[in-house]
Amino acid sequence: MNNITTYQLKKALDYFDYPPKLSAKEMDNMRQRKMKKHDVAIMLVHWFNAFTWILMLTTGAALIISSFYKFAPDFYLTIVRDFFGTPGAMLQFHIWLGVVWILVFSAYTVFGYRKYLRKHKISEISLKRGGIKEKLKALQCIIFGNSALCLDENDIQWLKIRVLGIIGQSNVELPPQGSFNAGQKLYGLLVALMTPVIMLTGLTMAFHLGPLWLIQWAIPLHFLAVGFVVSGLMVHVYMGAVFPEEKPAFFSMVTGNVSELFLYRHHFNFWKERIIKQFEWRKEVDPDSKLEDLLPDSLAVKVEEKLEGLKDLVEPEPNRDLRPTKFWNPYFAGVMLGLLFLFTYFVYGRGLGASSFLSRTGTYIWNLIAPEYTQSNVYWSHYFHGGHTPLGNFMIFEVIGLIIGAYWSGKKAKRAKVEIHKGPGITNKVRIFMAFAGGILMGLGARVARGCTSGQGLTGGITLAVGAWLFVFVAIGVGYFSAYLFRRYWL
Amino acid sequence: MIAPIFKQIVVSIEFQYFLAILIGFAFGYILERAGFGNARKIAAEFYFEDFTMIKVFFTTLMVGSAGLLFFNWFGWLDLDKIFIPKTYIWGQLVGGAILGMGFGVGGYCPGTSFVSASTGKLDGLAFVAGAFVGTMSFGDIFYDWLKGVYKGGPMGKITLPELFGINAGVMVLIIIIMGLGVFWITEKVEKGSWDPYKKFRKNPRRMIER
Repeated sequence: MNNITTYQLKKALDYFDYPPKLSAKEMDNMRQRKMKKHDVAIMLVHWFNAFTWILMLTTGAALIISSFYKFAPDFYLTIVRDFFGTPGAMLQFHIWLGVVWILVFSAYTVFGYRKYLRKHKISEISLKRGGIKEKLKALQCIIFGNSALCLDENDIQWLKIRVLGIIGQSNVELPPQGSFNAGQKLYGLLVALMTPVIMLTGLTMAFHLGPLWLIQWAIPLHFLAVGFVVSGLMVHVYMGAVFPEEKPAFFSMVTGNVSELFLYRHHFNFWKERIIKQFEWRKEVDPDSKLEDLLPDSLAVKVEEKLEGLKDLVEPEPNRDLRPTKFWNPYFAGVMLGLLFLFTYFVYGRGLGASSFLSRTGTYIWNLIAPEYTQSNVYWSHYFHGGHTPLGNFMIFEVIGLIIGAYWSGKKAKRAKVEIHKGPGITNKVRIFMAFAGGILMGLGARVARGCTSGQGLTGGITLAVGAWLFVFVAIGVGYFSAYLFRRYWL
Repeated sequence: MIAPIFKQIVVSIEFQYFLAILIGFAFGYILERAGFGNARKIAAEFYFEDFTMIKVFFTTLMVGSAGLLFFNWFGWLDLDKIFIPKTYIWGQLVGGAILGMGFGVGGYCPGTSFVSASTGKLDGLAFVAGAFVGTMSFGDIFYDWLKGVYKGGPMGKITLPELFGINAGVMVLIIIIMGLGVFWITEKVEKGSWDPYKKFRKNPRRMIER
């Protein structure tokens, strides 16, 4: 085992699409061994979800009393209602259990987010690559957050053959399936899409969020989404709790463990992963152990055969791309910026800016050093009018956010590094001096014009202020003139 | 009229500041992604190489002005309660000219210099330092001299439709048409071979990464 690398074993196991046949004794040995299948967190969430769904469906069915939607018989309604005492108490129970459910899932989503992102990185799911087909596939993978769950070409084929088979039009063999078959994946996608719908419509109805028409539409949507989930839930419960072949899956949700044989037969790809994990661990604690200790004898022979051919295989260096991410399309960036301005206007009734951050922090510092001078200065004193302070302003916090956001974006796009941008014909010293000088002009100009490109140009431009549009055209026009004067520094 | 939300309902000042940080975060993120942390990319606009700056600027103006108009038509946003910068003809004219000169010299504007400095560009940092000096010099030194310009030509909160006496929708339509015209021209120039700075260039055109 010492002479095999993990990568080689992985490649060797990849030759086997289906689990090879084993002898009865080997299978028996496998059945004795337990393998971990689920984390405690997953089990807790699963059972929490299961009990919540039972209670929610029970009370929910009894809550539907409008003759238009009602489907449960009267005696059922009476039984459930009497159990809670009053219909009001039952409604409260339904609402608050729902709120708890949403909170638990939100917490689960928040804490699971890092893991989710890591999974994406590993399986290299990206919306940026490929044609429309690949993009669609990546999108549904992102909804799942798990590449084992997203549908691929094999699954589409599987669904086609499966459906044709049921109506007796096809007897082609089904293509190989991963740890979940296409039907399960499809149901998973449905649940992933319906859960937010159920949550949002539920909240809308319970707390009367929004206008009347919205609340009225929330009712059928809520029922429809629940109906979709319940239709699959029946199959899920049947497979998990009743279907004999899947019994181990049910107990694995209680103990977290499952027999190796079950994984080998039903989740072959997952079994491979576990074997590789065990292999790594064994190699560390007992380098002399053999492959036969890990795998059934007949399989170990087959794997060793494959390993012979892979002897010289070296794991390729992970292809770490150091090139920066591409810039956004300017029109897209413009639309995003426009929407951000609209949002700010909608919430605050004002636009965004940048330059007054400098004058406000400057005034604050001046005030610390020389309060009398600052507060009697004709210009700086206006920051103190009406009991205001220079720092107690939207702009200060917005620019703090801007600095963090820009750094975050630069870091993610691999552009955050110490360097100097300059034209080819000048030295670093000249560039720094020019930048400083340009800064002085900008700072002064922004004060005279009552705002800079963002605070005056964009904010005023959007509100169609006359002065702002004048400012924009003058600034761009003079910009071209100034660029002509200083062309040697840039070209 | 439900908006501006914070002028209709009472929201704690802490939450207002918190949301301001988030909005700023998005602002910085978008500016960085558009490429405004790079002085060469911004300056390239003035040398007919890469018009990202102008494209982003006009797209934002089109989306923003049309959006405000629609918000008002839907009865969501009360335009009387939003901040509209006051017009001082001489202030904006002279201020815009000084600021425009700064473009050619420094390559950034205040907002983009913050972006550049926070991603580690030393020229951006020098620009921020310069902008600080320039800003403070206005109140400390130049205010008395520039007072007449700063307060010159006051017209109050006047907007373009009021000035020309036309409907705001027509004005926005004119702006959109103008913006599309600008896009058309800039795309032509970017892809075409017309280059007034040809003999000055040390490097071939289109060296700036897109």
